[in-house]
Amino acid sequence: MHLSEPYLSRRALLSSVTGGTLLLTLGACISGGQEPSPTGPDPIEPVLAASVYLADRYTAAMAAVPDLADRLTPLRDAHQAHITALTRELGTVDDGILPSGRPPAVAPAGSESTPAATASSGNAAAPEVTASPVPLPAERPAILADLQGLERSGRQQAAALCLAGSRYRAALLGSIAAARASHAEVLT
Amino acid sequence: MTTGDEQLAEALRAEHAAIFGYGAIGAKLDKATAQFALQAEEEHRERRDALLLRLSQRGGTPPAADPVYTLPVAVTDQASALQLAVTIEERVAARWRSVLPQAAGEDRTMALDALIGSAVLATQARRHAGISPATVPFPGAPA
Repeated sequence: MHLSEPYLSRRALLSSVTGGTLLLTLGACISGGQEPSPTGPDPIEPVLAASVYLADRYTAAMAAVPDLADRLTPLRDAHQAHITALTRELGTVDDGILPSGRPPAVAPAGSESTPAATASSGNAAAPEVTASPVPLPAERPAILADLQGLERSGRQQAAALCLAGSRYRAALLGSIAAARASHAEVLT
Repeated sequence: MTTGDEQLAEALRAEHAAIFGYGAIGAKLDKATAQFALQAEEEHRERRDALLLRLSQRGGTPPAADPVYTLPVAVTDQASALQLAVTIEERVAARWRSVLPQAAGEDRTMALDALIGSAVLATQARRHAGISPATVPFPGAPA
């Protein structure tokens, strides 16, 4: 279970700081990343953490403003597909790195078995997750603007790793950057 | 030509075809939608010119445009014109995505910018057409 700590600590970190700024910071941190090192954290971990954060953020937005569901559900589902693909890329599903022991995308959004929910109950860093989440804005336009800002930051993050990282991951990271860019487009 | 330059040449062929396709699209669009098509066509022309320059500077002979292309969608009205735009952008995005693993440095940057650009153009075309959802989870990836 100790293997999960780098991932979970990033998740906790992500939840404790304003998302957009942090995603950019993470992007800068990984911009020099190369091949995954057997000893260090995998450079795609921050991209995965951002997908988890974005999926959770959409779920919260739809809970707050239910009539956004038609518009936001495909975007949330895309992030869950990214989580599945990135988790597979990490090679961690079968190693139990996720506390639920399965790809988070197959869990119903907002259920107790999402990575965020499980992380809150199963890790020493968890109190940060529950104690200081970034509050969702109250008004519908501000919610959409918040999501758009996160998508734009996330696009920069994935693009930076696509350019700096290994060739064999460039296509996946390029598609994730392009998806995040098109999400920002439909939130205009 | 290196493998990377061959991939760029394939991307150039796709951009040539896209420019031809937009020539058939604009006439079927209302004023607001026509502005989208003009901007999209301009983006493809800029990519084409950048590819022509880059491949020429490396001593290659960049592929020229064909005189005519068979359109994958018969354009008869605004809906079919926008469907063609979606198809063009999806195909171009797929071509540029396949450049990424073969490219490094400025070539990979060019490929990534084009993949993102075509994904956004496809999204804009779907929105103009009223297609929902207007996004796909993995732009450029095989279905």
